[in-house]
Amino acid sequence: MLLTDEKLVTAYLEHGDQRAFRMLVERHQERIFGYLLGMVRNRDIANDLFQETFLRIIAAMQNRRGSYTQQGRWLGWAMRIARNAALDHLRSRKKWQDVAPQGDDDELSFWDRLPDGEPRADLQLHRLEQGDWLEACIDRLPPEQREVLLLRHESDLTFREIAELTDCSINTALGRMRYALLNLRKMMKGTSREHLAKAGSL
Amino acid sequence: MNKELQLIQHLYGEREEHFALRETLETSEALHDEYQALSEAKFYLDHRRRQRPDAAILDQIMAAATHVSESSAQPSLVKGRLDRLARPHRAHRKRRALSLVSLSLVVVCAMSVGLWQWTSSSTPIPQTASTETYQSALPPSATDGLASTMPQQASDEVLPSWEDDQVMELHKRIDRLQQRATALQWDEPATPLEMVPALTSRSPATARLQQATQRRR
Repeated sequence: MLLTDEKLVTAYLEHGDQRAFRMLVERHQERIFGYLLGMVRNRDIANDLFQETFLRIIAAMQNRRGSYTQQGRWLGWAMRIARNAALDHLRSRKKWQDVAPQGDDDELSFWDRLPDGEPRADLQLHRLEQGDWLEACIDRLPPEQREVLLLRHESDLTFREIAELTDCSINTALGRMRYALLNLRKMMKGTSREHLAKAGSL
Repeated sequence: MNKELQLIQHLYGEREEHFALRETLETSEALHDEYQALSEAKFYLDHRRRQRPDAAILDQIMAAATHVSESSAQPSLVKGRLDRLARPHRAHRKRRALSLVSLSLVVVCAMSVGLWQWTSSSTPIPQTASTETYQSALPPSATDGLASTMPQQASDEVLPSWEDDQVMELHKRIDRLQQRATALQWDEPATPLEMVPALTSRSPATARLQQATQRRR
């Protein structure tokens, strides 16, 4: 029988079961690391942020006055910690602009609709040569669109959870996802069929 | 919520129950084309290779989790404040000290009282005329019985209370009688008057007694 996340947490906190905690880490490592890697686009930094995230998770779970109350989904709570770690890193590099909450749920900011204009020629060229074509396209997305896409495809969060995590409405989260997919589709249409086949086999 | 957003929800399995996809796509060609584009992009995203952290990172995380778990299991400084043994309170120490002092005082007082009683009972009783008169007035049989019983009674009886002076005087007389009774038996030869220290004083009665003794000799 598959143990739920809450049961694994309980086994670790109350009985010191290290295997239970390892199961928890291995179960969600791709979800959390994939998001971090997509946000910072550097594997070494993503490894550091992944370790820092789980150190914070361990401290918060052990601390009885911590934020984890064992009510609700553990992954959503852990992703909040991971997101904060990623944003702290990006802010320190001045690569993240905090967007004010949208007044109208259906309206998106101007740059939410546009692909990322910052040229990353060296990274894109490297990735194209390595066949990471799709990753290059994702990197070109605006930060908010890329984040929603990563949270949905890497972390498997629902749009409601994404909206709560990113402090926006569910309509805004859905809208960002829509434009992310449409922008990716446009970028894919501008490439050859060979690249499409490579991306599909990844 | 507009229909474009409903397409996204449907595409990711979060569609609302009342949403009819087929009818929506059939009524609008734009929505149909958009749904197709969204599906293609999602297909490539669904088949992306998932990324994992380095194995060494996982080992470090597990080591940290083990260390924190073991530290939380042992009494720490923080837990020590909650789980430590209760230290004796200052008031408790004071109470203990006071009780020891009062107990010491009681013991000292009791010893003093006992010492006073012992010293007062062992003090030699001076010979008085009234004592001699009392002794001489008693018949030998009564004195003998008194000598045999009174000292025992005096020793067996409980010490008189402080307020009973008359009883104290009686016990003193009994002690004197006991001393005289043990020192001299009725059937023993009389002790010469000269040997009795109390009779060596130059009183008129003593002088007459001495003269009588010399004449008899």
